[in-house]
Amino acid sequence: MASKRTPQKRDWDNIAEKYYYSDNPIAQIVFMAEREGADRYKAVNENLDITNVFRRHAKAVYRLAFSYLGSAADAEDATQNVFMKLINAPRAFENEEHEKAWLLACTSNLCKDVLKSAHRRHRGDMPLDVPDPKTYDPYEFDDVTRAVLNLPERYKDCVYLHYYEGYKTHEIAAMTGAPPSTVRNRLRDARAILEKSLRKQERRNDEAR
Amino acid sequence: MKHAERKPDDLDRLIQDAFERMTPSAEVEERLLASLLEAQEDRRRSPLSSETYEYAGLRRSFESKTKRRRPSDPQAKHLRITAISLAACLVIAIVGIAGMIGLAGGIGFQAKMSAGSSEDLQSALSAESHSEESGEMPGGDAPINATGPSNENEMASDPSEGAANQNETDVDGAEENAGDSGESSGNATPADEDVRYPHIVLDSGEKLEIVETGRTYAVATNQDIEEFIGTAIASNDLGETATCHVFTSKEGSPCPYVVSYIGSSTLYFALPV
Repeated sequence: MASKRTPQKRDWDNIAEKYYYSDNPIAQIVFMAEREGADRYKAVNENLDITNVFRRHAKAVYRLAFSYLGSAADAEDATQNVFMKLINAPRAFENEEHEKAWLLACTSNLCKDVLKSAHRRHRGDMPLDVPDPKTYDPYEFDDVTRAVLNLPERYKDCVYLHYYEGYKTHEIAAMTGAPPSTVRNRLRDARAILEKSLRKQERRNDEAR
Repeated sequence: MKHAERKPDDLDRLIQDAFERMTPSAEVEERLLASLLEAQEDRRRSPLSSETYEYAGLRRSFESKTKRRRPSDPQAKHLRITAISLAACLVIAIVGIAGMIGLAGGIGFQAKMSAGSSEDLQSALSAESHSEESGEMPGGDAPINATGPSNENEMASDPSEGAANQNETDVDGAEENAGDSGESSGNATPADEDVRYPHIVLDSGEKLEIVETGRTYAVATNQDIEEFIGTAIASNDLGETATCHVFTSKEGSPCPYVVSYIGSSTLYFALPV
């Protein structure tokens, strides 16, 4: 057994003392393996420059979150939560594209969770005279933005990645984990929905005039 | 930005513009960054986040591994369910076996009770066999031709052999009843039901067979006896012989004959072969 070190009265040290100095060899091996993993974790965390990562990808994360949630306040919360995930569980990325793909996938999943949450679903139950700061006014956006915001959830990440970020179908498939044919179909359907919605809106505008 | 490299048509450009309008302002970006940096700094400064916070997840997993908590993966769950099912089946099987043993004990007890009531008959039979040896018949009836002349002669000429046979069964009975302190060896025990000589030949040449019911033999009671036929020779598959008494059974009984072995108080049903 390794020589005894000075016990530090911290939580994990108490655990370490209990098992590392125990006579159970399996417990010692498990502890050493976990300790190595923790050291790697610590090294990655120290190397994480959150400022640079944020400046590189904050806009993309925010835009995607906004397209899902339709509100500036919700998009801010989502953006902050996504970067907090990275701070809490830092990881080593192969390159900036890999980093961006991870952040966008994380944003998409988080927004879907928010939309599924009970709070979000019961927002419509509030009385009309009670103002909800997180409810967006649909009339503050133009027709196209409204049409994009009204797209069903499943189309939003594909539409954003293709029409704004300029990714090809197979790149989107790799990022989202969906088959390329599914991505193609989603893009085609989303385009049809948007065209239909915009035509409808144009007709309505013409009638109003 | 990649979208600048593409050559969009009208709708593409409109969609791009829509997303462009969703871009956060510089003020919002700075606010978000400031709050993130603050959160990161708080996390580093807090007593839990300096070193111990980083090991929080580690501690949970480590403790779970060292304490060997119940595994939660589906395979382990499946194994656990299977093991519980097998244990339940085992318990049911043990209970069933115990019940069968209890049932068998109850049958033995019942046989013992019925044998107790046939003690009188057994004593009468022993007295009868004694009188038979001396040439008299019980009740002053005509002599019974239950045993053939040769057997009769054999028994008469060599009573020690008959006595030996009788003693043989008595010894068996004594061994089996060794545990019954103070009780007569004539009391029925489950071992009495082990019929050693199931093949019987009457004087008339008619062959009888003790009736088997599954693994045991059909046991009769005193109420099943109607008339004493006589003494007969019983044998087994090895050619060994013993003496037995044969009776006719009453109407309504499952078999026409009832057999009683000398030295045993149990009565058995027999059928003509």
